[in-house]
Parts: sequence; structure tokens; C-alpha cells
Amino acid sequence: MSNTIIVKSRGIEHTGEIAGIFAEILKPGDAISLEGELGAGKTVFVKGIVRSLGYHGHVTSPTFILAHEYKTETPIFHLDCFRLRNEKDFLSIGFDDYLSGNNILLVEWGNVISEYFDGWAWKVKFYFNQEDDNSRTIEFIPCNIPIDNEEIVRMRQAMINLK
Amino acid sequence: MIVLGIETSCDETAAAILQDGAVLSSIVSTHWLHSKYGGVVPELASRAHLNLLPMIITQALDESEIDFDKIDAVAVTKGPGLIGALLVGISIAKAIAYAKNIPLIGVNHLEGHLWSAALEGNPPRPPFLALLVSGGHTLLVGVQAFGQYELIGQTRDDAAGEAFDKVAVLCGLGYPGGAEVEKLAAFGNMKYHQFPVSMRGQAGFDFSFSGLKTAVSNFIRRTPDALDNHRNDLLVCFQHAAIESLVHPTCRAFDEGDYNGLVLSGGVAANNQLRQRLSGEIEKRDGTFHSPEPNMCTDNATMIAWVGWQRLLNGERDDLSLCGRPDLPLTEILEKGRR
Repeated sequence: MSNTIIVKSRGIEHTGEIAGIFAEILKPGDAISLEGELGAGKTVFVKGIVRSLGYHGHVTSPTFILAHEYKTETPIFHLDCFRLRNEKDFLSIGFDDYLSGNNILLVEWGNVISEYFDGWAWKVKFYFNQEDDNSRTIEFIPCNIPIDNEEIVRMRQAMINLK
Repeated sequence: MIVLGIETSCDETAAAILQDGAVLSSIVSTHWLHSKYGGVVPELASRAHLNLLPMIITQALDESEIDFDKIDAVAVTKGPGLIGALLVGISIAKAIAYAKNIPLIGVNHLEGHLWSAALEGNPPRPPFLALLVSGGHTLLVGVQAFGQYELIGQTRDDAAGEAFDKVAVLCGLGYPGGAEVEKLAAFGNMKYHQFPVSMRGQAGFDFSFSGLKTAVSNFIRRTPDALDNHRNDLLVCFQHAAIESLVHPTCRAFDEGDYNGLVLSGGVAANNQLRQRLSGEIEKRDGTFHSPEPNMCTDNATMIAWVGWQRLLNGERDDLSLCGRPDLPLTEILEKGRR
């Protein structure tokens, strides 16, 4: 059985709920790569995670400023590689400091640095669906996590139950 | 009093010299300026600031014809911004303040924008409303007096300038292409398509641009000839929806408050359609409309030096423990001055 989890979101609110379930298994030190086209729902997903981990301030896109920090029990760093071309840009602004440490790291456009960094806990990919404009397919790909991880099984079940 | 202002919060390295609030020089170097020519490496944030700032300060001194020893104080952006970028400006500001034994003052970048029209011939008279629209911020602020600010509305997702830049990418214009959108939209047909105007008819004064961006993306995916045959039409329709999404909450806030006028600042304020639309609405309401010259709308050190000067006149100053604050809110200033 593949460990990849694929769920279909009906829209923005549903994506937030899915993110909330995902947030439960995140641990300090986890780095998550969020991948998908413009408007596919990466920032909405981050908002869902951050809310469910207890931060209730504004969560906005970090594209321009490149990094946001949310002060939750485990600090969350929300980075955005949209404006970066490659890992060289990533390193030149000192972002590798974020990759080590006990924070939760949510990196939009993480694929930009994937040749340099292979320490992701998860890659989460977002796809548009042909049939309607609001729904999205979200693919959770565990990396560096043992195959029979019980948490993954529980998460898969919780996401299915959500429907 | 002669104040040296330093700004390094994001993509611009800037220095300015002000004498009693009058601009003697203002130098800005934009890292992304070269990106559209392709191939030129846009050196990012901290490293670029570190390379550029000493040169930019020297240039500001040269142009002002002020001797380095004549500087009375240093004002520097302390946040919000990218921490590495902020630290370059702050470190150099501290070094100058320490070496010359002159006052140091940290300035909130957003407060700088609020007052960027203060140096114009016809400055705004408080209380006024300020709409700050840039790549990183979309804020509506009530300005009662210097230091007395009320955050009235802000974006819930993407900044207005970010929406322009990302739609430019969706339309194949490259990044950052926000300014290009207006140029091409001038040739478009507004009747091509109607994109949603966010927050229209809703209570409150917040903004939202993520839905509009996604609507453009959906439309392009579903309309095979949209980019090839209707790019300019698409751009003008997007621009219209984006501008209306800014105008409606702004006018509602203006109507509900007691303001003399509106200040429009930030990079997106360079958009002439937005200026015209807002100035028309505000003048209809007997308010004065202020939008500084484009080079004062975008990030610059003049506004930092000006706010620093005001704060120094109020007897404020920072010591050498001044730190960069990436998430420094405008509301921190607000709390001090809340009515």
C-alpha cells in the first residue's frame, strides 16, 4: 500500500478542515513543502494549520515579505519560495537557518529548493479539478517517515470520515 | 536638525538626508529592477543590502552636499520586514550613531508610508484616512494625529500588489509585472468578462484578493484563447475588479469616519486608474485626495527620516539595543495613541 494520501476538498472551508487534521500529526522540527499552481490553495491550507494550532491573528500570503512567524506553542514559520529561483537564492537570504531547529516549517513553493533540501517530513501537493472551480485534489506524500506509521493510518481515516 | 534615514526592510536599499523635514537627497536602489531583463541575478535581501548600503549612504551624503559630521541623528526602519534585511540597516545605523555619538531612532516602516504625503506641497491635514497598498501590505488606517493611528481594515489573504504581480505571472508577463498590467489593460475591453469584486456590500473594512486571483486562474484554464487573443481584455477586467475591491471598503470607511481627506500610498498607488477612481470618490465627498509622487509611494528612506525626525522632536530615541522586528505591527503604535 502506498503511503500517499489523496483527498478531495470541496472548497476553501473544507481545505481548512483537512489542514486541521493534518496539523495534529505535526511535530517540532517538521518541514512541509506545499506545492501547486497559483490559486491552488496553499495559503488557505496554511491558514487551516495555523488556526488549528491556536494562532488566531491574521494569516496572509508571505510572497512579498518571504517569511511570516506565528507564535504558537511550537513556533510556526511560513515561508514562500515563489520569488526565489533556486536553492542559491534560498541560501543567499539565510533561509537555511530555518531548516534546522525545532519549529514547524510550512514552505509554499518548496519544490523550488527540493534539489538542495531533502529533509521534508511531508510534501503536500494541490491540484485543480476539471469538473468544478472550487474543489481541489490534495495529495499528502510522507517523506522520511516509516511506512507503517500509525499516525498516517489514523490521519487517512480522519480525512475520510470528514466527508 | 539634519537626519539620515535608512530603509532596508525588503527589496529596496535606500538612504535619505532631511534637514528640518526638507529633503536634501533621497537614493533608492531596487534589487528587482534588473529581473525583467532576464539573466541578471537579482541579489536578494541581506547580501544585496550589505553590498549596496554603504554606497547608497555615501551617494545620499554627496547629493545633499552635507558633510558626514553634520548629521545630527540617524533614523532606521526597525520593522516590519525581512529580519536579515532589517538587521543590515539597523547595524549600520547603530555603528554611525555610536561612532558619531548622535541619537538613533527606530521607525515603523508602515508609519513611514502613512506620512509619505507629508512632504508634498499640499500635505494632508489630520484626521485623515490612509490606504497603504503595496506588494506586501494592504492596510486602511485612520490617522488622528502623529502617533495616533487606528487600524481600520487589512487584507485577509493576498496583498493588492501581490494580486497584480501574480495575475501578471498568470498572463505570462513575468515577475514582478504589476506595473505592466496597467499599461496593457489600457488596450483592453472592459466588457470581456466580469470578475468578482470582493467584500462588496459586506460590513467591515477588510480586503481580499485571493479569490480574484483564483478566479482569473480558473478563467484562463477554462478559456483556451484567453491568453492568445484576449490578454489585454483579461487584464483590464482584472484591474477593474481589483480597484473596485479597494475602493468600496475605503469609501465605506471614509463615510463612517470623520476625515479631512485620503492618503493613498505604497507601490500600487502608482496605478493611475486607482488614483483617478479614488480621487473622484473622495472629492465627491468633499475630502482632499493625496497621493505622493510614485518614487515616494514605493519604499524609500525619506519617509523613514521624516517620521524619525518627528519622533526625535518629541524627545524619543532608541539605544544601541535596538532590534529588528520582522512582524512589527502598526497596532503597537496604535496602543500608545488610542483615543
